[in-house]
Amino acid sequence: MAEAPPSNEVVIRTENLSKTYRNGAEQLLRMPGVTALSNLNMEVHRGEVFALIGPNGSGKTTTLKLLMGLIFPTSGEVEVFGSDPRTSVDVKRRIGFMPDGPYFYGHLNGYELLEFYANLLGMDRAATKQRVMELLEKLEMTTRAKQRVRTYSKGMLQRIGLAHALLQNPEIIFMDEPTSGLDPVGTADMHQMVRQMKSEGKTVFLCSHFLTEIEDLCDRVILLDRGRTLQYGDLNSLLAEPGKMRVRLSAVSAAARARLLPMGRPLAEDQAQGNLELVVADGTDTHNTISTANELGAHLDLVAPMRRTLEEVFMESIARQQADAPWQDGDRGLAHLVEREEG
Amino acid sequence: MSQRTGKLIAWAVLLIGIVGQFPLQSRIDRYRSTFRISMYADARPEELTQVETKLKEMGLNPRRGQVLDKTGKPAVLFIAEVPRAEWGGTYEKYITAVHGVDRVDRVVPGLNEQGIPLDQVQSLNVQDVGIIVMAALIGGFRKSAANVLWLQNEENWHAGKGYRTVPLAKAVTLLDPYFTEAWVLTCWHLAYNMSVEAKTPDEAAELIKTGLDFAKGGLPWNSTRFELYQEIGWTYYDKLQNYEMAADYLKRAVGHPHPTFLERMIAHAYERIPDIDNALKWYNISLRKYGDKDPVANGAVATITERYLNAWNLYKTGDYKGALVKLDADWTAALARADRQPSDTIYQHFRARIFEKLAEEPGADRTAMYRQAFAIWLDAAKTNATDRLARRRVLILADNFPEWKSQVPAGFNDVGLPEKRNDLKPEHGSGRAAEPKKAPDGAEKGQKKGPDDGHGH
Amino acid sequence: MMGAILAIAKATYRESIRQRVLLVVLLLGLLLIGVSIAFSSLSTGEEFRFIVDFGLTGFVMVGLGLACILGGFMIPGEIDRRIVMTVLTKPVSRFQYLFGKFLGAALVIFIVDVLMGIPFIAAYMWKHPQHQFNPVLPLALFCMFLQTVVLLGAAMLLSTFSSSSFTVIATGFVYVVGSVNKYVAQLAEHGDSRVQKLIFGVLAKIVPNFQNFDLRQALLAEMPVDWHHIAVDVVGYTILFLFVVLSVAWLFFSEREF
Repeated sequence: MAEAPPSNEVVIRTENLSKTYRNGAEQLLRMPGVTALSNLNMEVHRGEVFALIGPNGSGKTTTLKLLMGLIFPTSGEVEVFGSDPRTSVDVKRRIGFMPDGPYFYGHLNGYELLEFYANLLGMDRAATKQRVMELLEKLEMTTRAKQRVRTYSKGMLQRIGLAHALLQNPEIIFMDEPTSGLDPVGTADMHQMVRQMKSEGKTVFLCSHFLTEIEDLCDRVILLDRGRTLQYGDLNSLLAEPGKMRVRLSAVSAAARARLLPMGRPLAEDQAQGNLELVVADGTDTHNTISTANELGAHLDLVAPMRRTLEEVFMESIARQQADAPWQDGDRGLAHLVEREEG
Repeated sequence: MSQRTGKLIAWAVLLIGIVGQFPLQSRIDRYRSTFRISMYADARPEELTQVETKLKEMGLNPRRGQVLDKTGKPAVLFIAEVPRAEWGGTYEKYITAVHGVDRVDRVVPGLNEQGIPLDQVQSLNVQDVGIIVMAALIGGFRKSAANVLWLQNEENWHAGKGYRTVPLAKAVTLLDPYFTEAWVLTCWHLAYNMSVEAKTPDEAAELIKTGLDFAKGGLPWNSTRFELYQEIGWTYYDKLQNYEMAADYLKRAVGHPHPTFLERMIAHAYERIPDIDNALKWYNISLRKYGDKDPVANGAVATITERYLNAWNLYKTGDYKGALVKLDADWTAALARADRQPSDTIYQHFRARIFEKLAEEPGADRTAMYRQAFAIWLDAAKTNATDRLARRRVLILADNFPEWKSQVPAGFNDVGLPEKRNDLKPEHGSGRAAEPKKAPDGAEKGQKKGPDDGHGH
Repeated sequence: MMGAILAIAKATYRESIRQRVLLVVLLLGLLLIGVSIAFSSLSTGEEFRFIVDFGLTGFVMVGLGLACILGGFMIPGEIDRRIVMTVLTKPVSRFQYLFGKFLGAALVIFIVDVLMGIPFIAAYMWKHPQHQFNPVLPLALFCMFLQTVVLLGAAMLLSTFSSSSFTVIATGFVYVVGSVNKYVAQLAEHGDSRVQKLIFGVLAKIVPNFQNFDLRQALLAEMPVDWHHIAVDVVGYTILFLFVVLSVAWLFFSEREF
């Protein structure tokens, strides 16, 4: 499948976007409230798959809602197609939203549900019928069209959710946790659909806390933690560690271990099984490591250019941030208190 | 549309909404406050004009519309706008203005529910006030609350808690003054059940009076139905033997759809006063309306004519002596014809009245004449325990001639004494100026000394 | 513009009409009419009055229930179920959403009123001395509908900034104050203190006057009611009041975050 290359046209832009939630009393008393997002700066280009990554409570859904005008920024700016999504109905014609665990009118069947949203789009009866049937077919939901949405499985709900998002053939699709709750087959299907949308030239903006699955899908990412941007940029450059090689060994004796460990940075090890994985500089260092392992009878399982997983990058980023600001220990409650003081 | 424009529009709409409500509310209030009088389909043009004139005299400007009367036939409706200051009031002065006009069907003081007369609240106990406040709180359920409360009344009644009836009825009628049954039954309860259980005659009389006053309090809201008029009329008739007041109220009752015996009851009231002309008139109305097959009315017309009419005609001209002679002669003749002793109530009342008139003649032996009357009343009261008119006359005369007091049996005063004990004149009609009468058939006109001087003319 | 509103109205109608609680409320109303027929025989001479009173009370209660249920739970329910997110990310303005919801609920109320109105009119004609149809009947029922719609608007306004339970309580309060509006106005006039006068005065002005919708007296006295009065004055009053509540509701709703 030929993927259309992302263009440089910016379709989503945020500038120092921040959101602080305050309840009525907090608003009234001008209390600090809870900061869900602080100073997000990003640009999303047409045709790319962009992911917002972070654990629960990191501000992903807040960002998504800000981008769709469902909530309003406390400070900073947000633009979608150059307009404020809060006031521009036109923007909403060009975006589609697939919510997390879609919540729909359970009493409608699949067809009626899509028909309802088509009506909201102002589609006439014939166009509605054509488009709905087309989407049901595309998402392999034709046989379920007459079934009540209430009786749908999670996977079917995600599909109907996607169908509803695609109704107006949008330029940007927002997907909130598209694979949460799906089985491996469902997940693979969803990935396939994302790729297909990308191939059709659509911009896909997704949120996820499944770090591994995102790696295969997206072009650029933002890593968020507690509202802060940890990393932002091209996925490949984020993951790659130039000049480093990954060496994986097994049957490593205690003596061998003692010799090998200082030669590089241990990435993973299992002393009982005798497994060891090291990151070493390419060239001479790598060569020496392999020779030493050979000498000491360890088995060489893998030698490859170093590419971190997204999870590793994420954990590293968090660790680095804590090193920079040690008062922010892992305690989320405490961290929030700190943020509140800042806010 | 930008957010700002949207908000501006919203504020503008809000403003229009708020400001626009005032003139509309005013229009609605004006319409809902209109005073309405509906006539019966058979109302004659002069009766319609009469209503129109009376309303105009009150400063209203009625327009005519159409409505179905209680019999389901199309009839005339007068709708009049009322000055703003009176909106929401009870419109009693307008209601009173058209009292006595024939063929008035319904009088409606406006489409709003009548306000609770707050001055009545003080006479209630805490529990009732609680009920009223609750009911007022639930607003639109006021009438239904009254209904439910009234069901409670039945329960009280059967549980022997009759004393709860009056406060409860006050609450009920306060909630829903249109609840005719509540007014009627409470009046009946006071005047009949409770007065019978009273310990002293004065207390009994007080209870009857309370019952009547209570029922009269309901008239502004129930003046378009016969029930309350009938109840009041009957209580005057049966409990107080105040036949003039009885006839008065009963005549208002027959202005509305009613049972067929009411006209006869009016005639009975008149013959007991006695007012023979009016008694005959109402017997004849009854015969005309319900066919001449009614044996009671037919018999009554015949007996009255042969026994009393001649004497009555003399009595009207002020020839009391002649009347007495004629009455006795006709009565003796009637006795001779009758196969059994007829009831002599009317005869006795009439005869006593003639002696009372003779007593007041110039140069008459006042004491002797009154003694005659006293003897007749005493006799009537002893023969007929329910003839309280006679009892009252006995008591009044005994008050004025203390030497006769010893003749009055103990416990005679079971209804309380009338207020003016020293006034020898018949107490009937003394307070009866409100209702203009249809001109009696000729004879009485110009009769200054006629028997009607106590009848409110 | 209207397309989206009608689509939302239709969906609201279709969803609400399926709710069991609505059926319960309708049955309650029908029960009241039934009870009024049963009870009326206990109350001789007052049968007709009983039917009108209890029947209309049924309409009031059902209307209050409907306004609370629909107005109080409709929008908060969709916010809870996050349906509102899927709707508002379509090219639908918040006003369209709000107004569509309102129209849908009003349609539900209309249907319920019609369903109750038929047996009520039948009972009325049955107990009427001449078994006559009264042209004021449909007007009175229409006014009951308008009153419920006004309550619905108030409930929807309340629900845009408060919880469902508060909305239900406050809607009840609005009904109570609206029904005794006249007295509240009197209290404002004759209040003891300035504060009291102010509170009651404001209350009397902001809460609708439900007496305007009450044609019970006209029905009982069988007085004709000018349809013009209903079509212009009462409908106009309703619309103006809805102007107020819906614009304030929109002002709140447009600031609302989901």
